Amino acid sequence: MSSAVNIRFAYDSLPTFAATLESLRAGGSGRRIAVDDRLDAMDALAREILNPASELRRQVPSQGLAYLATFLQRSYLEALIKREIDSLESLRGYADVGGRKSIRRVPRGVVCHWLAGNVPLLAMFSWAVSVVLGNKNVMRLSSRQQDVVSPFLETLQGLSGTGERIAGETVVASFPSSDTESHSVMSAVADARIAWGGEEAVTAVRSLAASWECDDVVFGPRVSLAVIDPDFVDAKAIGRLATDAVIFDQLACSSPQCVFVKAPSGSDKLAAFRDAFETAFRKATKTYPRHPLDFSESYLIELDRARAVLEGGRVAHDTSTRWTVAVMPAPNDTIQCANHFIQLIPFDSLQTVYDYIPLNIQTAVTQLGPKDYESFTEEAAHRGVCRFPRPGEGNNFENPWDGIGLVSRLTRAVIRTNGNR
Amino acid sequence: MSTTEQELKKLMANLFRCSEGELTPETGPGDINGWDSLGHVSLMTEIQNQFGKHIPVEDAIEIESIADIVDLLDNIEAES
Repeated sequence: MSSAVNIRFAYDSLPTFAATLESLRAGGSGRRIAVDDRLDAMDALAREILNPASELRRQVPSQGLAYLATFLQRSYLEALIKREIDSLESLRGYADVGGRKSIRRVPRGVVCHWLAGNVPLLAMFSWAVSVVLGNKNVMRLSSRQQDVVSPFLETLQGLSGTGERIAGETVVASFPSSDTESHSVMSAVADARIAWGGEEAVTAVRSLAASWECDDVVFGPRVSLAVIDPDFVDAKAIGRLATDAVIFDQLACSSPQCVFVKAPSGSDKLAAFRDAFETAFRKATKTYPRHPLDFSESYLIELDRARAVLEGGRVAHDTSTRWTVAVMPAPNDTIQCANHFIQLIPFDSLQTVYDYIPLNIQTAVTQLGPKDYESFTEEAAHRGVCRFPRPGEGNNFENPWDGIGLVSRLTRAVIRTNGNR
Repeated sequence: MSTTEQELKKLMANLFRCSEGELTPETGPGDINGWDSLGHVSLMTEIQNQFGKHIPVEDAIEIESIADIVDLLDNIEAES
């Protein structure tokens, strides 16, 4: 594929889409772009995001952008890769792994991303990792979604020759969920598929026919919680916890919905934490404005407030539906906990938390004393928790994510015996 | 005022286009124009460039004031 390729694919017909993907797949016979050059290109894109005069900042949503700018920095991406494969040497050439063996990691090929409807920016994280590992990419957006990808590609294209070539290795496609033929064409070309979204969306992607060699990475409908010991948090940490709970309007899989607080029910300690959390939550909901609610969303919040009271909860909220903190005797699954609605649940024993952990758990934002921290992170990991970030890091995409190491999934590991003697 | 604090204020005044006099140890994100979430990442990048010290993301998100940054810088080894 030439560097001058159109980076924006406006879907018009199936044959055009199929031909574009075939061209993407077949391209790349020229000089390969080294991993270090790819990292430099991502670093340049990060600097452009940070440039106050950049047009890019006016074209994409601001929520999550600061973290994306951090994520794209060379030092951060390098650290993220090394967390999984120790060094970048096998991405540069054959790297000695002992016993006269060497391993070389090569790109898997074409990686197709199906973006989530609720937090589309998240796909830029998996895209960046995929790009650095040398893959070509297809980014599918719903026809109802704002195109958050193309502004990044257009910016990248203008930054350097390498940036232009990398941008040319990504196709952005927008078509409806109901267009099964286009989904099928996209799936057929994939060497790896990354599906972001709810159960219906990811199941639909997995049901598409694909090459038997195609690897699937599914970032599905997970839920998250927080476990806090008030003796080990200060007001600043509580503020960061509140931020974790409001950013992305609690629609991200990593947004805590229930906060378990190590304090006896009705105790002064619980009351003090509740008051501090309510203050922080009120402040955070102002700092991170929510999307305008429609009637049904407002209705659900009012309904959930009533449910919480009927279940024995103590509910604090604003005069509107901006924020709600419900102190509950036990977690209540019928409360949706979205759009700035948090349940605080006191506990004496970590067993209370273990009993609640759902099968689709992802993140447990954790701040506990050393002994509890060790036992909780061990036991909860075996019960499905994938991450234990501290308050403030809850929504920061990292590798591994959902228990999946992206480097292994988006590369092929080639092994050779050293010394052709 | 320590040397670290002096140099940091100079850097920040230049980055956020304010006067050094506006910056106190208690000044934090949101207190001056430009020190928003993106400005915070820019600040961390500039600190790395000028001080040769990398503040990990996990520490950067916990920064609430200039005093926090000074404490971090004084406790981080310079990169070789």
